[in-house]
Amino acid sequence: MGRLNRGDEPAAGGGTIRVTVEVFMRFRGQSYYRGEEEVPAGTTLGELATHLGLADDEAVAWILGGRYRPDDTPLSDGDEVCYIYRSEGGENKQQK
Amino acid sequence: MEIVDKLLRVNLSSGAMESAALPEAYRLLGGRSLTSRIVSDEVDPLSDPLGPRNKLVWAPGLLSGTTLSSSSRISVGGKSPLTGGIKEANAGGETGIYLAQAGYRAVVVEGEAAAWQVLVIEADGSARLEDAPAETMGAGTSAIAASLFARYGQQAALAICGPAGEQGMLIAGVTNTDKERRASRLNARGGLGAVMGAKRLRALVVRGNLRRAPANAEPERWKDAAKAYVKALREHPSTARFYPDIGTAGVLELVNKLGGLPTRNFAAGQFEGAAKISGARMRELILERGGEGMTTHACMTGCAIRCSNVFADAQGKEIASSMEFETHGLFGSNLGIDDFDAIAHFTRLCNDLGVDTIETGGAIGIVMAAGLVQWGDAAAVMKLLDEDIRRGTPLGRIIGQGAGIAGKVLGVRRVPVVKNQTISAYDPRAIKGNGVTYCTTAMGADHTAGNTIAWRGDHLDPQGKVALSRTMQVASTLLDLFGFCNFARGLMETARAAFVELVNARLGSDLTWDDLERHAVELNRLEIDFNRRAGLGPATDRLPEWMTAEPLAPHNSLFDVPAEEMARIWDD
Repeated sequence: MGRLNRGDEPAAGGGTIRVTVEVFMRFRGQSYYRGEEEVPAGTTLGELATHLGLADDEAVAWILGGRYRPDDTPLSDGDEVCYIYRSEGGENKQQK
Repeated sequence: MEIVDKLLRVNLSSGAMESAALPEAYRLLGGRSLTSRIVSDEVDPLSDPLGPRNKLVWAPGLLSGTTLSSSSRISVGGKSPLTGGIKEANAGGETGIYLAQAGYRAVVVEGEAAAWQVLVIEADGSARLEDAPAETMGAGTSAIAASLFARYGQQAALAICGPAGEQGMLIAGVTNTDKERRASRLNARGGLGAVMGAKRLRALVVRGNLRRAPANAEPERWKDAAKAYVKALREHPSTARFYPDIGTAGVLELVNKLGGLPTRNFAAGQFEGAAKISGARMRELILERGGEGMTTHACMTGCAIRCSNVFADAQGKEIASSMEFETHGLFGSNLGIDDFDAIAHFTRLCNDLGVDTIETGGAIGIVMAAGLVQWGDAAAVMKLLDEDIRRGTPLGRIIGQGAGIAGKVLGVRRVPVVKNQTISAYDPRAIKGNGVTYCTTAMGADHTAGNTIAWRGDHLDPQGKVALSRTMQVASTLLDLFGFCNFARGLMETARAAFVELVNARLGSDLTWDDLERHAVELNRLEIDFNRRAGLGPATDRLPEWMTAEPLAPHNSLFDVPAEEMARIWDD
């Protein structure tokens, strides 16, 4: 399980949430990765992507609960976030 | 330098043939723009699509035949016997590059022959008709290709009418050979293979040596623009990494996650076996098995994207090329099948029959929904393809007429078609932008007319999907005009100027991007006008009603983009 600290803020037990992360590309030594991350409450989708090192890859899309969501969407305890390659060309950065 | 591309006109009824300079009115047209313009100008919209008054038009893109990567797609157009409207079906393979290098921007085939013919076009552009070899009758496309390559030599590209087209099946496409001479790349959609069969044209054989790239009006300008295009292609993640790694099948997990993967005749949007038929799994299997398998492969000479693949069995022997997302969707999840080897065999059989895997998978989904075959029964599907369709049994002929007719014959109400054409592997209740494309393009349910899946927004929200679809339809129309593969679409954002420059350098024109976009909009209007004249009114521009009433799991979504908004898509 990974852990994200937000700045100097300690990731104390009561102030954290757990989310399930699914990555459909090579990640942490695996071709397909599924695991849990513990992050401070209030962490957004974009911050989680940055923490995982996936935010800078233009080819990667992230999906929360089966839908694309904007970067600033706050995560909730028990959320499932999926990282996956986009395809079919076509840039559109409306929500990223 | 003045560019003089040619148009070849062949009348199969009389045997008359004429090769002439492309009319001035068509100077800026190529690919779909040219096929649709010729069909609109010359084909009576009320004509029988399987009769002698329909025409079949082949057109490479404006930039085809050059050394530019992914630029030699081939468009085939005509009046569709499946939709009853105008149709353009697009394919890779070698036909586009050979035809462009023979100097042709278009080949128009008219009438119908008394006996099966082969149209042979030489590298210098000369052409002739010959009787089709007897051994090609009733044969699969692989055997037909072997026969024709033996007769006309290996330095050729073939566009073949296979056994399904020969039987007049509306699931039939036109099968092109790839770089290694496999009969494997189809102008799949809309039943144009049945039109070719009705004309008794067994094949187009284009001979050449791939050393005669078409001239450019402004070579220096071309060189700079080509450099910019290649740079963008090498840098864009889709063309540099995604497609070379896992091909089109790589989109399957994404569509499944978004809840839009057709499952058991579009009854659900997520498939429990998705991981087993994904692009990532395909890559793993190909690498594990080795032998003749290839994770990346170019279907046409000079393609640097190399999204194609060769899938081998456990002994490393090739089963099929190429494994594609749409086949995994319509023959995999849509039929409840998660066996990769089975899907590879379906691919091989569909290539050999010369059929569209979307329409055929959709029709077999109807057969399963009718209870004639159990969901997930791969062996039964194999039999439907290799025996029923190939031999033309009554059930094979029903499937051969596509999902719409199969639904009517078998009494299945839930039929996933628009204008009688099976919906691609993006359920429009979850991928709503694609639903708008299915409804508003003249082409029927065809994702290649404007696929919105790459858009990183909420696909379930109906807001903004008409504008999104229009943007993607314009982009796809232009890619078809140029001859580029749809996967070059991302480069239109990062290297837009290069696209304009390439066209201008090739033709000696001074078009702007706005000019090109205007052209794309006008072309779509022209195609819709043909459909209206053919009797396809606005009532045909919609999804089946059950998709607006039957919630799709897991999101329980319906298609709810307002019809009035869709009707205004091509307004200024």
